[in-house]
Amino acid sequence: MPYTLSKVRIPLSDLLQKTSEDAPSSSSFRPVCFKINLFENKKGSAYVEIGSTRVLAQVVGPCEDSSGDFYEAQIKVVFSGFDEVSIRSQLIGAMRGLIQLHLYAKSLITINLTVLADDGGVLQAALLAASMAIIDAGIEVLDVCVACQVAVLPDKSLLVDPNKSTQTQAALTVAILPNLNQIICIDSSGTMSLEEYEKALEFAVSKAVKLYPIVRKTLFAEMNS
Amino acid sequence: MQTQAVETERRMIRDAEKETDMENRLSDGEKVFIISGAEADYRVDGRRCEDFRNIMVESGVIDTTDGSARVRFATTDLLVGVKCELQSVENSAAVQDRIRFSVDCSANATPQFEGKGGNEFADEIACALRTAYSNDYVVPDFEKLAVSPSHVWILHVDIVILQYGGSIIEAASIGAIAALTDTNICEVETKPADENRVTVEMSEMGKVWNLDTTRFPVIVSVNKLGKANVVDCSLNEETCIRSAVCFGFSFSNKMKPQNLYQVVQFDELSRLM
Repeated sequence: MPYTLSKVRIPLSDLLQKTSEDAPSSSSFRPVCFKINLFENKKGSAYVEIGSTRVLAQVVGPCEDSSGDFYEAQIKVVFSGFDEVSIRSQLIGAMRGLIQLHLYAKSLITINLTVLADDGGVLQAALLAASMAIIDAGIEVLDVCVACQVAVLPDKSLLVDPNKSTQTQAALTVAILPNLNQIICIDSSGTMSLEEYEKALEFAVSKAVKLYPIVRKTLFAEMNS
Repeated sequence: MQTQAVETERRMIRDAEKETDMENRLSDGEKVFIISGAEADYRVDGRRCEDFRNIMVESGVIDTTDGSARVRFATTDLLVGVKCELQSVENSAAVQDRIRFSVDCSANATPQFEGKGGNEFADEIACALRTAYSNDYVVPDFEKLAVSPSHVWILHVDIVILQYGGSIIEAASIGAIAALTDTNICEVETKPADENRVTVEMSEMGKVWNLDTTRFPVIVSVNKLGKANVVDCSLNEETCIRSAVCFGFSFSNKMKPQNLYQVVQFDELSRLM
């Protein structure tokens, strides 16, 4: 059958309503998909999809590094498919807070991140992917990491997980360790007053925690299989 | 006997390695001294936690640039130069980064910058400044930089780190403001030409205008030493930092970009601000 004709009349107002429902609601993430251990015989990989932002992370190591630090492991992050200058230091800083580096003296942990598609929120996806890949690689960590990006819209309302086309006044990405109640990364741009900033931070943390059950489920699903 | 010799040799190598590694490393005792001092609001150089070192800003130091400044924070030394370039573009409204930053780390600044060591650090500083300036609130003259639909002023801000003594991001942001305030931009006249094009001509000789820098951001990083919040860390203090957060402030109580490194407790963060 080449195409199907509907015999039911669809009023135009219904269509309009439907598009407004499809628009991102202010309090929910885009559809997410997490997966770890993607490759059969190689540990240490994770895939994170948030809406149409897709990031693949692979961890190599810890490998011995004779010129490495005497007291703790070094972290190297290699990006592909993305201009990483803006998020590299935030990612390394967050991973330094997450991994128990002192257990891996004189070694190097390399995190390869491939950004397959970028539709906003690459930092939050990269943080989630990198932390899950590290856990999959069997590297000892303090906690799992959950991350969330929120946007402050020009009318001062807050929106969780904005995509690239959203017109924002400011954006804030935060990564937390939910069990330890510690923040490991904050990155923001745009203008905010101090009160707005505090509100946005609190909102981001409360939303990031919502991802925790999903991350947990992803990790346990692989462990049990 | 032979094994013993090997052992001593190994130990010597190890000690030598430690020494080369010692450039910026403190013993545990020294760290405890610095941290507990900071918690009692006393720092090694006699400052309190909220005190900055003496800041020296000098503007107009390089003749070959359109605007320049030199900033010194005790041992930190930065040179900032601004060059204006009138670029021909397809659509000037689409050019968003009209103030561009590049940071260079002199290999003399600190042993860690030898070779390519400083590149990542430089990128980080440049990126923080770019984020700070990338919105139209802080650059009131943003529209004025586009002279015609096909011509736009690009301001290249080049920062050279001559000596590293901590607080680079503060010094860089202050230096950028000083150099941009010092920058003279030529007045130009636009004249319509063939095929809807526009030609740009210098107006009266020597007529220049300056940027409105009143809203340009100052970036401050607050560091956690133990339980204390400390600003403007010296090199020794920097090795004891548990976490740090940088805030860019624009006057009139609007704020901008910041990055936070490593771990901080959520309820502690509000006190940092």
